[in-house]
Amino acid sequence: MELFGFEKETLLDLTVNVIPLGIILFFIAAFAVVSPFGLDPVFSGLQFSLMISMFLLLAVLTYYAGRAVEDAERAEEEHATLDDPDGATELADDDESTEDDAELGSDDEGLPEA
Amino acid sequence: MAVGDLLLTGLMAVLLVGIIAALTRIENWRSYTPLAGGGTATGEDGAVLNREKPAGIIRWLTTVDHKDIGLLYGLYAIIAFAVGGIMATLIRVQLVVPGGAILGANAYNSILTSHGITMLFLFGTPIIAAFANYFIPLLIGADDMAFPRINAIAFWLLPPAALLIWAGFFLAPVTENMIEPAQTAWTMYTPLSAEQTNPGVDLMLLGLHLSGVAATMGAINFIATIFTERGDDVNWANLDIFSWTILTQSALILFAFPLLGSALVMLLMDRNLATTFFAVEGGGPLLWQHLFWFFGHPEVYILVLPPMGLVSLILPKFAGRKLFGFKFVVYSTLAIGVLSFGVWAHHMFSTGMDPRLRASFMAVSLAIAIPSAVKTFNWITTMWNGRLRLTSPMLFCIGFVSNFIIGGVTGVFLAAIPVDLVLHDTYYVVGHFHYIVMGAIAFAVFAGIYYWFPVFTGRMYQRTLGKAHFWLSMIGTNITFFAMLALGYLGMPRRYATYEFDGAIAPLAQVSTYHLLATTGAFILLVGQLIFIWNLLQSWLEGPKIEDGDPWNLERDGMLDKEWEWYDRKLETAITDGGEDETESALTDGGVPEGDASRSDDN
Amino acid sequence: MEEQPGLSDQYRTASPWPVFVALGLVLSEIGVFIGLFPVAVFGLILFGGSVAGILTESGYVTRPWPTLVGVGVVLAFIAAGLAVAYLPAANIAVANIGNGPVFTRLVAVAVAGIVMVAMGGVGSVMEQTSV
Ligand code: HEM
Ligand SMILES: [Cu+2]
Repeated sequence: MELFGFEKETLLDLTVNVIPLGIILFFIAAFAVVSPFGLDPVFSGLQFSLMISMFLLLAVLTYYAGRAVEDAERAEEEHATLDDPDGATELADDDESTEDDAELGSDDEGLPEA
Repeated sequence: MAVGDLLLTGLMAVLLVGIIAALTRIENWRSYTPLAGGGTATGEDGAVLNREKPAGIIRWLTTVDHKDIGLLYGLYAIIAFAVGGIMATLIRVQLVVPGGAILGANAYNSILTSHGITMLFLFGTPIIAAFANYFIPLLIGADDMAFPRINAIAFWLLPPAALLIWAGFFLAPVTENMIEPAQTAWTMYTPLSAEQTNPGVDLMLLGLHLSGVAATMGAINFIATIFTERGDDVNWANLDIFSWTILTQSALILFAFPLLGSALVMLLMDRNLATTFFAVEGGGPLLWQHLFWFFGHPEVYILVLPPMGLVSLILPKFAGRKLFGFKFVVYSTLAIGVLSFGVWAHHMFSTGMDPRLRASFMAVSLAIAIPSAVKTFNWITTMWNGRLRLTSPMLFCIGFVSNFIIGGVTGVFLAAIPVDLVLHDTYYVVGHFHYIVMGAIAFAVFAGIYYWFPVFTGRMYQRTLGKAHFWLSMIGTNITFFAMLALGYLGMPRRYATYEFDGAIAPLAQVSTYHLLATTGAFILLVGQLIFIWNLLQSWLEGPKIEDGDPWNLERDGMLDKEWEWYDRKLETAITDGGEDETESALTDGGVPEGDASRSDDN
Repeated sequence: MEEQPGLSDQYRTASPWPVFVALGLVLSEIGVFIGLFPVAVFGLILFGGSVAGILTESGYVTRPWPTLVGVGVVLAFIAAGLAVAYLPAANIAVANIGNGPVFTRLVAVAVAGIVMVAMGGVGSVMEQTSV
């Protein structure tokens, strides 16, 4: 599955930012439908531009961050030979699988199923 | 006036001569230092000389080594923490009785203002810079910061900034209160801050401006370092979490602090040059609030993101498993970074701004709570079924999570307009942000200090004292600041030196009780911090030496990060080349050839 | 990499300039904003001089004098420009120094600039004639 050119794993990681995006979107829609204070060109304009600009900025930054991380992962894989001595804090990729038993380093390449 | 000018000119001339003398001495020493081979003996005390650094005090004044600068930041921040802490104690003592125990209203306001500014700008930002300077280059495998000299300049702006911010306290006695400490509160709201004629306010504003310049220089440096100086094996996919948070924080600083700087200059000009940026006939007083909070809200995240990074880095080490959902934490850090610029007016809900605008700020404020909550779940899940080791750093991490939850949840309540209209400007707000700044930020800082204590001192702290520090801090924080939340519900307004209200504002009996509780908690906190300082000093001087590069036994879980590997190599080099070849590593006090930078001859 | 102690020793990790750059900036700000003429002049000169010093030391430029002259020229121009743009021409007079708060500050900046230009000029001439 590809969306915006991301692999599934990355998409899953990015869902974390989809939630705040969704909340903002919800309020944009809600305020568009219900406007108890009436509409005013200046203030309603500011109101929506604040929310829309935050939405766009967050979406763009999330996109580029996802890109940077995924590209780095690809490059890492191409370098193939898994030299991964210092597992430590690095990518805990797929957030569901590797977790249950602590030990890492072994499979933190993470992407094989993709 | 003329006499004053003459005096000042004379003073400047003396300073000039002094500087030239100092420079020629240092430059001389430098040009005669042989590049290879043994060091020269400039230090009379016979201290071991590195070829790259002079000895004694000069070494600290001239250093551009990121580890030394990190230590300087740390020392500076701890001193500021002590000063701010003493001020906090005075505030709490004052409030034990409704009429005020020790201070007049002016003194109270001065101390309250300085407490806030000291803790946020002179303790919070610098202590984070301390960790970042010391560990970012080690964590990403860089030689040093991208611009080591700018790094040093940024640090050296801070001591004068502190002196300026506190100037009123020193100058009031000698100028017969002509120059007093500022009484503007840390938010410096106009028109009050523009109208107080006290020159102490100008000095404080200048100090703040300088600290902002310093923070901006530091931020540029961190961004450049993380982008360009990474080691070959460090990429965006495996960059550690602390570096991610510092990167985000630096971006926030880059957008927020210059704005504060400009607003401060505008305020200074309103005060001194009769401009009208914030006057009613000019931009109006609300302009200040918008500018200030456009900086101010990002500032709170500037302060909290790196501590979140510290916890995300340290907590897994003692849970025996990797950070759950590492990338969730990374992306939500970035989300917080962006969204923090779209919520500033939640500090201004009660100013009568347009309700539509207010609603949109509420929407974004609710959205920003999600990434924070996500992190909380990640930390908790990391501990779930983990093999927890309750060392002092781990205890502080857990304390962080617990306090951050209370701080965050109360924040979400405040972000709801109807709730905020009731609670705004009460102790509830004070309780909210103290849960975060003391309960979370300071706790993460303590965790970091204990965790890395072996790296920068070569010794171990005293565990029992560490635990005592934790429990006293945890209990003290929760008594003090929970009492403040309750005070807020009772309606106790913030920023008052006394509280002899009639019952219409708040029920006096309950209010007194909670104030008493808050003060009790503050004293528990105080005892905890005294133990902390004692532990730091004593263990630094005589704690047990660390022999192994992995004092936390992280290897077992495959979690030994680069900074520990570096440390281990440093220890080994010290042992293997000790004495032989031309390196004069003479290890009298456990100094090692180069990194003793970080320890031996300072204190 | 730093982590090979002993190898990185040639690498200089000391510089006298940062303290003075910082001090120069601090004194300039205090001098200009509070309106203390001598402090402003001295602070700006110290700042310009240390910037020249630090740039030379770190190898961005080979000699300090052109930087000093450059900083001086920039300061003098800024001061002159602001004076012309914001002050009525009649106020710009030697007799006015010490009166108008804005004018006096601008004079301080200009004086510092001119002194730096002079110092830079003299310095480079001396450097070329000696040796
Ligand atoms: C979970 C996200 C957060 C939300 C939704 C939130 C919300 C709020 C709101 C609405 C206020 C204004 C209350 C008022 O004055 O009526 C406030 C005040 C404050 N918050 Fe938060 N907050 C959050 C997190 C934080 C964090 C992480 C920090 C600190 C690092 C922080 C520090 C502060 C400070 C210092 C104030 C008081 C400012 C003042 O008036 O002096 N908050 N918060
Ligand atoms: Cu806020």
